[in-house]
Amino acid sequence: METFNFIPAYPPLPFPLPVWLMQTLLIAGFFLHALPMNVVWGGSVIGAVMFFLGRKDTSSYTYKSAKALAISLPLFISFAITQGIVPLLFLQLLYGPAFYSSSIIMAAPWLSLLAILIVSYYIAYYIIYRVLKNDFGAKTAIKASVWMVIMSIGFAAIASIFSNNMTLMQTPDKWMPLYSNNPHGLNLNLHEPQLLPRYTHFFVSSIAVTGMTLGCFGLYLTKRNAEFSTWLLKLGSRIFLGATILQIPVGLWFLKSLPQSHMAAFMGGDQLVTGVFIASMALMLVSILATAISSASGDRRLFIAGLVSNALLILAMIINRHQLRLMYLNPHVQPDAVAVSTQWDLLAIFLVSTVALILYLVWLSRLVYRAFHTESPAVSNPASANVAST
Amino acid sequence: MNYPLWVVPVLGGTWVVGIISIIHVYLSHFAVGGGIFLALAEELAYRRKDERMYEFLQKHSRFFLLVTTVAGAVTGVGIWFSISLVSPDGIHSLIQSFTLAWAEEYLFFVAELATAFAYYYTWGKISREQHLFLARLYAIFSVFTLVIINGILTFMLTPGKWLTTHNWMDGVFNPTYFPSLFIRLLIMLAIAGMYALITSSMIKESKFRTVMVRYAAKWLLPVFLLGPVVTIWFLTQVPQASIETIFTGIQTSGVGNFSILARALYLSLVLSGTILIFAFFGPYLNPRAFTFRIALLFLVCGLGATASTEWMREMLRKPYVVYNYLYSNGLHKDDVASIAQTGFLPKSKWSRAITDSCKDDTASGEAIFRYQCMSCHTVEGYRSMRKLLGARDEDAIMSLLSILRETDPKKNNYSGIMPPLAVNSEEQKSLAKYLATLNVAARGETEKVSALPNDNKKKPE
Repeated sequence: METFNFIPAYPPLPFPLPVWLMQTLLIAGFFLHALPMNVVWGGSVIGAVMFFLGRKDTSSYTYKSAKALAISLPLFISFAITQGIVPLLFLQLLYGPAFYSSSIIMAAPWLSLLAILIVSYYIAYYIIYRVLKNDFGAKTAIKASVWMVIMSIGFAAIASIFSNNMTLMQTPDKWMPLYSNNPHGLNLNLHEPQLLPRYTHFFVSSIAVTGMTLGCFGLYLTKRNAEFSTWLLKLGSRIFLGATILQIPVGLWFLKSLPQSHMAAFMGGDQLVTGVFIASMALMLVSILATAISSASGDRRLFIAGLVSNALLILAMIINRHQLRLMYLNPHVQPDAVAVSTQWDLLAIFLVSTVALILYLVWLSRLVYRAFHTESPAVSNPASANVAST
Repeated sequence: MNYPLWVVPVLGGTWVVGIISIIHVYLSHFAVGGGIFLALAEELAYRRKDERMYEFLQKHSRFFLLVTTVAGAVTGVGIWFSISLVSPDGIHSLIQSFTLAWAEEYLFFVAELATAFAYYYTWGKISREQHLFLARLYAIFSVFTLVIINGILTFMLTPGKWLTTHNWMDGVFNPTYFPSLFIRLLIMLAIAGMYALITSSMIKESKFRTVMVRYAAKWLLPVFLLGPVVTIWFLTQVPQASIETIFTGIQTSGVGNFSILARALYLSLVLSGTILIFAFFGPYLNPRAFTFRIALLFLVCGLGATASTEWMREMLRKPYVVYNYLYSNGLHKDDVASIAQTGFLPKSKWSRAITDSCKDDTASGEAIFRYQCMSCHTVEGYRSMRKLLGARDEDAIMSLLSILRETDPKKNNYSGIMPPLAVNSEEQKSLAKYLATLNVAARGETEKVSALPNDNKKKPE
């Protein structure tokens, strides 16, 4: 039987937005999801290592940075989950026939990732409110390190389940054999040649992005503690640099694991794909050069240059990832064939609300930033006031 | 039918969605009601300059944050995940019709979460006026998440004019939109009160604990006073056929005069009534004796009430996912008549692919069973076919299926609760053949019983 015969049909309804707009929102949404998601995974790994390395001296920068990572992780997790809604929505709309099919075929692990997420998320809070509550000595550090390792295993599992599904949705020829083998959803896409290199590629990237995050912590502390700030900038740059250099062979491995025709598209076979790929390589070089210098000198401007080029690099890579998906899904799944009836009224409301939300978030961030940068106890702390009164 | 069908043994796919949804409803209602609670309680603390209350609210808000932003948020995604596994056609149509409503919901969700974090982390770090402002903002944003999602939830029960216009406004602002919005708000306030009872019961200082327990108990009052009125308003907007289903039930799903739906309704009423009466006589009139354990008991009762109410709401919609449009097994209402002629299996991709690989009738019968029955039944477990078939032989099953194929409610007494069976005659035979393989043991048992002397005979079902 031909593969395309059981690729499901789209619902008999028009799309509410043009396909190009939904694709843009899918890419933009995934970009905003990928950044915090990388920090969540990489941060739990690097946090575990740094807690362990800094265990002997809790006043050391190593320990302090581990603690800063641990404390900020819940925010990154929350941000990653919330930002995941957008790509998930547009992935379902645009490529639902492929995405729903593969999700159902591996339903059990797919659904279990949410349970793993809840547990890992609560571990993140457990570390803050229980483990680090009595912040003394090596024992606390080792305990925190162990919990971070457990949490990182959770995130690694979630990442693996995602890699399995995102690759399975692209290969419809595998669906029927897997489903016939187990209709209860107890399947994975482990025989996929690109699975391991793809997964490793994402893991190394999460380490690199966490390096950048540590550098950002350094930028945040510039005025408060110049020495610690420079230390963080250098360390962050080094982690980024190491991971990105390692990414070169890993990336090549990933590229080699693709089917010949898809790989060729990156090597000049498709102008647009190759163009984006070359741009990403150029951005990678810029970020490597910039962080190579900032890792030695702690130069803030160069770090920022590295940071920006890395952000753009990730965006370019995400566009490439999207193009790769299209190569796989063409000609089986074609959202372009679905009729479009744009809901202009709702689109206008949505755009206005988006602008309003951005303005609100800017206002809110400034409020919070000021709250943490006002040293004078101008405002009374209810908790401390109460302690004083009792 | 368009998609591979996820076979969940014993529990059935619906309960996977059901369990996640019930947990999520309980947590998300707390997220909204609790937001209003925090805003109003903080205003009280501000006006009274009550430091103890501030201290309590700071602790309560950590509990609030941990419950709503982690389990609350993730189970919300969980509903989405699970529905897309159990009824992909339904969810695809739903998000395609309401994409931008979904997107708008996301914006409020971002605002809500960002405000929750800002609110929690700035305790004692910004002025009290600013902090109170954040609390109010949070309450407003969280109410707006309800304002949007309520449109999509109620749409499924009462799509109203959308069925003809396919306009999103008609879909969102459908006949049960407003009554449902008010009921949910009332319930949210009550749930917020119940969660606050938990944290209040943990206050060490007895005098202040008494004050807070009593204050939290008051939050159950609005639903007590207004709940019945709004429920009646809601029920007047629900399709009358569904209301009849609640009280009359159908032959196989009810016992005696109590249909299963009526039982769920009474359970929900009894549990809610118990909570309210106990809240009045317990924490409200006698707050001093209130303990953490009793508070937990309230929470468990609340979960029971939520579960039975939400279950009943889902059942009200039977046999549809979108009332009068899409059946719970993913079949479009309009397609049933043509399928009776052309057959079901060739109609859609996966069912056809499965049939093509089928070797015999039983296998294609199983494919039909999966696509048309398994959205509500399991082989052995929830609404077990083995049990429901009893000792029927293939011929008896054939006649039952013939009744199920009828679209006229007078000829098919299951029509209020089950989608009509959409198959042609040949497929009906395959399905009967397959179903007859499920209850072989029961038939064997009956045959043995019939071989016994007369006085030991049991009546077959």
